[in-house]
Amino acid sequence: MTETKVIVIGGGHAGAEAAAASARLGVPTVLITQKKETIGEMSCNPAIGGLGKGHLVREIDALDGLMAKAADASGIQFRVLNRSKGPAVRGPRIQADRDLYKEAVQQTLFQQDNLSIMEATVEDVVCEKTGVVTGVVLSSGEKVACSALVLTTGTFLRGVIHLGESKTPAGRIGDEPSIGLALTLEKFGFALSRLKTGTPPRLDGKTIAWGSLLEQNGDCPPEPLSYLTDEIQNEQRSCFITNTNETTHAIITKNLNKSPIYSGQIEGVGPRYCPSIEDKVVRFADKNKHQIFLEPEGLNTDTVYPNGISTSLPADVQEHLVRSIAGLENVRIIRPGYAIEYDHVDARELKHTLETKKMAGFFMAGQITGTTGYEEAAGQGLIAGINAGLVALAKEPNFIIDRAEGYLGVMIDDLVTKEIKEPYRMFTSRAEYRLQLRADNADIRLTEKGVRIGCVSEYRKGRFEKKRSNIEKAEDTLKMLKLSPSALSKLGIAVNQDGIKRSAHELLGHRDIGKERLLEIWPEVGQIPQQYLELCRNNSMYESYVRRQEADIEAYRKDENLVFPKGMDFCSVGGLSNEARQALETVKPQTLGQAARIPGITPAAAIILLRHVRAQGRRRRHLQGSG
Amino acid sequence: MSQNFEDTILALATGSLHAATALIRISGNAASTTANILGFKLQKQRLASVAILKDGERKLDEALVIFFKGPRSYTGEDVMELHVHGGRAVIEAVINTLQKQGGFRIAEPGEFTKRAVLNGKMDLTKAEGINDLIQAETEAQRVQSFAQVDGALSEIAFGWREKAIKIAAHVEAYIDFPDEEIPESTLTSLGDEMSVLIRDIEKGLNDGRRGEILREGFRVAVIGPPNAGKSTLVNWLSKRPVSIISEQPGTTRDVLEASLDLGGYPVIIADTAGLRASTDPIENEGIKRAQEWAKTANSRLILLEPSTEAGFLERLKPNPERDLVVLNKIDLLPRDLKKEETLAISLKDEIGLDKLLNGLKKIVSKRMVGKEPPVITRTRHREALQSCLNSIKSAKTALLLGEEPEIVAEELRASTKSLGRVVGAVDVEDLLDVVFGDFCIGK
Ligand SMILES: Nc1nc2c(ncn2[C@@H]2O[C@H](COP(=O)(O)OP(=O)(O)OP(=O)(O)O)[C@@H](O)[C@H]2O)c(=O)[nH]1
Ligand SMILES: [Mg+2]
Repeated sequence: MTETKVIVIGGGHAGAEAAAASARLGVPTVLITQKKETIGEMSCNPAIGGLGKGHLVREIDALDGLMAKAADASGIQFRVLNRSKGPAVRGPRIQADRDLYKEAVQQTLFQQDNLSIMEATVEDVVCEKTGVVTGVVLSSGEKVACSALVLTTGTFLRGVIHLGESKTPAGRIGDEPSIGLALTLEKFGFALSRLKTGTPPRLDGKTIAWGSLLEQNGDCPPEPLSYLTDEIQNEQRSCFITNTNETTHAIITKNLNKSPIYSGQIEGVGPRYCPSIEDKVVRFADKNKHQIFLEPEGLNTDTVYPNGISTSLPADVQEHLVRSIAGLENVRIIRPGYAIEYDHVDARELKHTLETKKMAGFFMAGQITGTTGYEEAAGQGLIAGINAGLVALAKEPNFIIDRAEGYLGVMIDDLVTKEIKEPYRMFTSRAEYRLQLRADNADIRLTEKGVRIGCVSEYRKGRFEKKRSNIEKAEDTLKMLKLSPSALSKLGIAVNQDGIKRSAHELLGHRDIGKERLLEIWPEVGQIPQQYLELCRNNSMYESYVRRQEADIEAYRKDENLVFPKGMDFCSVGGLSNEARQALETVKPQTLGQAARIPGITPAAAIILLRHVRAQGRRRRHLQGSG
Repeated sequence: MSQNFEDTILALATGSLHAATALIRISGNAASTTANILGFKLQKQRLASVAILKDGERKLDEALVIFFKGPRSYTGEDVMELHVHGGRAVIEAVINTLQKQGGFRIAEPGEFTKRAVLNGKMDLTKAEGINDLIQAETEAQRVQSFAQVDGALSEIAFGWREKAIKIAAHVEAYIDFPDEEIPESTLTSLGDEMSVLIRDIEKGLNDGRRGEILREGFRVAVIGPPNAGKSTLVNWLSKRPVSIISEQPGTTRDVLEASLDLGGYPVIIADTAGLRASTDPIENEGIKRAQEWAKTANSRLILLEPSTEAGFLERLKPNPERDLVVLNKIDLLPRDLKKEETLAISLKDEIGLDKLLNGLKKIVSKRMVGKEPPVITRTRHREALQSCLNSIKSAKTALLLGEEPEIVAEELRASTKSLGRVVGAVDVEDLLDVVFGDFCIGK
C-alpha cells in the first residue's frame, strides 16, 4: 500500500464524508473505525434533511459528498417542508430505510479510489514538538503515520447514558467508549464542555393500531435530494401522527422525580429545540397535547421511531406513558429511550478549515465539536476532509465557505466564533443572507468552487455545466422579452406606469403573475424546460432583496479580508474591555470580520481592532522600508 | 483625529484655574504608576488619601488622591484622580512631571467618555447625554441631558427593541418549525403587534423635534424692513453689542447669531439684513441669506416700524402659531394710533418690552412643551429610528399582502438592524431565545 496521507478516525456521517472527500482529492486516505459494519449508521432518527438541514445536504451534494445520494438510494418518504412558503425556506427531507442508507454509504466508501478502511481502535495521536500531527497509535501498539488527521468520534468523550436512575458509561448503546483518545485530547489541553441529548423509545410497529391514526403521505412524485438523482426507485411509506394527552402528561408529572433531568443527575445542557417530553410538559404546562410523528425505520423492519417523545424516564414509566397515547394502547417498546451526556471540544479551538489552532494537521468534525444532526456532522466532515487532503498535498488548507456562500459557511463560522450553550443545530434564521442561499441553487453556489479544489467528479462537473448553461440561456431569453407598462396594462397586468419596460424575467417573479399568464403573452416561454423556468422564477422573486444585500455582503467580505497578524496578542491591544479581551483570547479570530461577530465584541471594540491592524501594517511597512 | 488607545491619558477635569482645588484625572495602563512617579504610596483602591506629590526630591503639592482599578472606574481602565490645589503653577508642575515620563499624554476633548463607551461602561446614548450635560447651559437642557444619561432613550428604545425581537422571532419560528403546530394565525396576530410598534415609534419620532431643538437651540429669525430696529432689538435681547446700529437703512448684511436663555430654553436669535428691493449685489446677497435662515428657523420675529408699507407684512404670510409680529418705534406715533392686535414697542423708550419677552416665551414654549418629554435629541437617533420604522411598515405591508414569511422576516431583520444603531445589535440568539420561550418546539 502507498503511504497514508490522511487518517480519518470514526465512521459516522462526518467520518464518511471526510474520508471520501480527502480521497476524491486524490490523497491516499485511511478510515479507521472500531467496527466496519457500523459505518454510515443512523444512530438517531431515520430521517435526513429538513429546514436548514436540507439546505446543508444539498450543499454537501454540490461538493460531491455522499449524503444526498445515499438518502436518495434509501428514502422511503420524500417531503419538501414549507411548500406553502417561499423557495428560500423550503427544505427537502426524507425518511430513510436505515439498512439501505448504511448500505449506500458503505458501498460508496468501499468503492472509492484512494480510500481504505481499517478496523482498529486508536489509542493516541502522535505529534511533533513543533505542534504538527504525524500519526496515530492503535490499541495493538502499531503506529500509522499521516500528514493530516480528522477526528470524528462523536459523543464518545466521557459519555454517560441515563435511563431513569441508572447511569452507564458509553458512547452509544452497544459501543465501547474510547478512553485513550479522551486522554489524548486532555493531554493537548483542548477546552471541553458538557452537553446532553436524548432519544425516544423505539416501538414495535406490529403492536400499533395504525388504522386509528392520521396518515401523512410523502410528496408525489418525490423530489430527490441529490442533483444527480433523476428518479427515486424505492417503494414509498407513510408516516403517522398521534398526540400525547392529559393522561400522558399526568403520568409524566407524577414521575418527574425519577427523571434524571429533574432529579439533578444530569448536569449537561440539553437542546431547547429538541426537548424531552418531560421538558415539554413542565415548560408548556398549558398545552394539553404534543404532536408525535410515528416514523418507519425501514421497508423490512417493524421498528418505529416516535419522533417527539424523547425521554430518560425509567423503562416501566416509559411503557406506561406511551400506552396512554392514542394508537399505542398495546404498543411494545423494543428499546427504551434514554438521555446521553457527553463532553465536546469547544469549537473555538478550531479554525474555519476545522483544523485545530493548537495542532497543525489535526482536524475535527461532527458531534465532537458540539453540533447535533447527521447533516451538520456530514457538512463539517466534508470541509475537514477537503482541508486535510490539501495539507497532505502540501497545499495551503484554505477551503472555506463563507456566510454569503452557504449554510456550511454559516454553521462553521458560528461554531468557531461563538460559545455553544446547547448542541448546535441549523436553522434558516441563522443565515443572514437566507434569501440567496436556497436549497435549489446550492450547486450554482458551490459546485464550481468544488471543481476548482478538485473534490468534484468529472461526471458531476459535466452535468453541472450543462445545467448552468441551460439556466443562463433561459434567463437570457426571459430578459430579452420586454413590454412597456402601458402595453402590460392593456394585457391586464398592473405595474407602475413609470415608462420603464418590464422583462419576462422580472414579471416571472411577481407573486400575482403566473407562468400561465406569461405563456399567453410570450408563447416562446413555453420552450424553456419546466425545471429551469422554476429556478428563474425563484431567482427573480428575491432579486430586489438580493440586490439590497449586496452592499452588506461586500462590507462583510471586506472585513473578512482584514487578516490579523499570525499569533496576534489581543491582550496587548489597549482600550479593549476585559470581557472583549477574554473573548478574543478564547476565540483567537483570524480576521476582523470574525472578531466582530464574537458576542461581546461591540462595534466600538471592532474599531479599535481595525485601528490596531492598520497601525501594525503601517509599522511593518515602515520597518521594511527603513531596514 | 487619531487617538491611540494604548496611551495613558491625563487632563485637568475641573474648570477655571485659581479655584481652591483642581482635579487631574489619569486613565490607562500606566495610571497606577503615577504614584511611583510622583513619589507617593498607592493606597487601597477607591479610598481617598492625602499624599505629598513630588518630582524627585522637589515637593509639588499636597493632594487628595484616589485610585480606581479598572474595570470599576469611569473609563473602565485604571484611573487615578489627583485633587490638587487649583493654581496654574501647581497643575502645570504635576502634569509636566508625568509627561516627562513618556507614555502619558494630554487627553483629547471627550476622550475619557469615549474610552468609557469603548470599554462598554456606558452605551452611546448615555455618552451623548453626558456630553450634552457638560455642554448644558439652560435648565431645560440640563434636565433633558440628565434624562438621557439616566437612560431615557435607552429605556424606550430597548422597549421597542424587545417588541421588534418578539415579532421577528415569531415569524422565524413560523418559518423554521413547519411541523410543530405553529399555526398560520401566529402571523396574522403579528399585524396588530406591528401596528402597535409602528404607533409607538411614530409617537416617539413625532415629538416636534423638541429634543434636537432643545439641544441645539430654538431658532428665531428677526426679519423686517431696513431700519426697523432689528439690530437694536437683537442687541437688547442678547445684552451685548452683536450688531452695528445706525440710522442708515441697509446696515446689517450678514446673519449674526446670538444665544440667550429664555425661561430655561436655549434660543438662538439671528439679526438679518433688512428686506427690500436693492441694486447693491452685496445687500442682495445679505437679503438672500436672511431669507434662507428664516426658512429653517423655528420662528420668525417680524419687526415693523410705523412707516412700513402695508403690503410688507402680507407678503411674509405670518403664521400666528409660530411667528411674532412686532411694531417698533411707537414713540414716534401719537398715542391713539396704536393698533391693539400687534405687539407695539419702543426700543428707544423701552415700552412694551416685557410683553415682547412674554410673546417670545409663549412661542417657544408652545413648541417646546409637550405632553411627554422628548427622548430623541440627535439627528443620528432620528435617522436610525426612522429607517427602523420604514422597515417595520414594509414588513407589515408584506404581511398584509400575504407575501412569503421570509420576505416579512427580511424586512424585520432590516428594522432590528436600524434599531441596533441606537441600542445595540440584535443577534440570532436573541431571536431563538424568544422562539424557544414562546413555542413548544422540537421533537
Ligand atoms: N425712535 C426710535 N428709534 C429707534 C427705535 N429702535 C431703533 N431705533 C433707531 O432706528 C435706527 C435703525 O436701527 P437698527 O437697529 O440699525 O435697524 P435695523 O433694522 O437693524 O436696520 P438694517 O440693519 O439697516 O436693516 C437706529 O438709528 C436706531 O437707533 C425706537 O424704538 N424708536
Ligand atoms: Mg441692522
